[in-house]
Amino acid sequence: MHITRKLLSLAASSVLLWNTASFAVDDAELRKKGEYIFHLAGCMGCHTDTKNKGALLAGGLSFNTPFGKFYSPNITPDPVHGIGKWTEADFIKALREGVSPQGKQYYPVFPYTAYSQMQLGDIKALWAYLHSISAVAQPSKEHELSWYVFRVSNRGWKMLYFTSKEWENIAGKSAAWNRGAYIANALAHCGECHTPRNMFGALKTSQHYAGNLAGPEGAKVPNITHDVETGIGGWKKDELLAFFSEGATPDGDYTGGLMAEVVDNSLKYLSKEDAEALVSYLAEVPAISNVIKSKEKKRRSD
Amino acid sequence: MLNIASKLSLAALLVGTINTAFAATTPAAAPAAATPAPATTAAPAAEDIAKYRHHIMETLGNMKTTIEFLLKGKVAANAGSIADQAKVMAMLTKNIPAMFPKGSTTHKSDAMPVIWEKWADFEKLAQDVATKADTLAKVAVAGNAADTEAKLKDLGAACKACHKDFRKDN
Repeated sequence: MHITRKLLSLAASSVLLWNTASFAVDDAELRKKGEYIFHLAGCMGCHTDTKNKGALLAGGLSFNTPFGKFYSPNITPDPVHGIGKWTEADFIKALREGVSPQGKQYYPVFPYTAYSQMQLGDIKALWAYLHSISAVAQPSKEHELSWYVFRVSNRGWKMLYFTSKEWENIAGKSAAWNRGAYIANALAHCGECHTPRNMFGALKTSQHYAGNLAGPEGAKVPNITHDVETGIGGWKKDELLAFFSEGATPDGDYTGGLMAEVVDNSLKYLSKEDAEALVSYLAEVPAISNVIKSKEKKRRSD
Repeated sequence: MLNIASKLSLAALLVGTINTAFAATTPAAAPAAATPAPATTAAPAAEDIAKYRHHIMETLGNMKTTIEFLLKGKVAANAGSIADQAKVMAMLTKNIPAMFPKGSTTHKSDAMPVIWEKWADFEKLAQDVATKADTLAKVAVAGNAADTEAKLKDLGAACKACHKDFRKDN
């Protein structure tokens, strides 16, 4: 009797062990997928203060905007300063609705406007990955905003400029185009810098990817529509792929500043298939003639 | 686009210019003394050095491109010499920090002022470019295409590393 019980409990515990083991394998795969999503979604660039040797995803990077100075928050699994106490549902709500677990409305400097289009599976994978990194007990800084900017006004802003909707493939477009559109708009949020904004800081959708003279930190952000003269319509497929993997431009130059960060943190991680999908999408971004770089003009006269 | 031959001659011209410019740095002080208005001399000087290094950087980009043309067989092998072009890159990158005197940025220049705040970091990245260009020149002279391609990529990564921290992507 005693032995039977022991055997039974042994059997039970080995079943338990086996279950844990198989769960761990799935979990590792999920985390791996999540790490890929983490790269493509460009979380690193804003949530890590790389230049001051800040800890991974511990936030603290400042952003000067026309509305004041924002600081990126700590998104490590620290229970006090990070997202350690969040549930998966909290995380989904933050990305899809731009609302914190405490019900606070996020400012659109956090590109939930793009992330709300993410597939649920990708959000869950990202959540799994974020919980696998080291917790850092570093408090998030309060934003220093202009007197006329209030958190409550975010509600009105959302009514005007935001609809939460998961990305749906567009019929009649190729699978590669759809995948590329998803990567560019839901994950990599290219438009956050490459599309100009109106006076309320909302993207001018009619100027999709047409470049931005008032980019982050006053940068002039290039036109990446398919326009040959002022955009990247003249770039060949191989040239775009070289740009994604190395930051090399067709004229022999290498990108710098924030775009070099985007290459190093995100684009170079694109799988071959995804890089080609992004090329397919960019090749069909409607051409808009909008001169951003005076260099462009000079080069054409070479 | 310029053809390869004129690109090369342009590069040769620039190499000539850079040599003259370096040689001229000391005696140049004498004629400058003849012109008054010392308060305003700083701004035009910044503009000149910014333009000057822009031409050097463009030449480096041009050499990288022409080497690729030859490596990929887009043009006939006798259109130019990979080794010579790699040597131009090595020569032009020998002392990048000398082209960045303190505060020499203008509204047109994409050089970030942080260069002079983190000068040691800047020098380190510039030195890495020089080292990688030197290695490229050596393998290009040895003549193995695969090695040359790999070292050209290494050099490109060094260029990007410096641009990432110190050049605006305007």
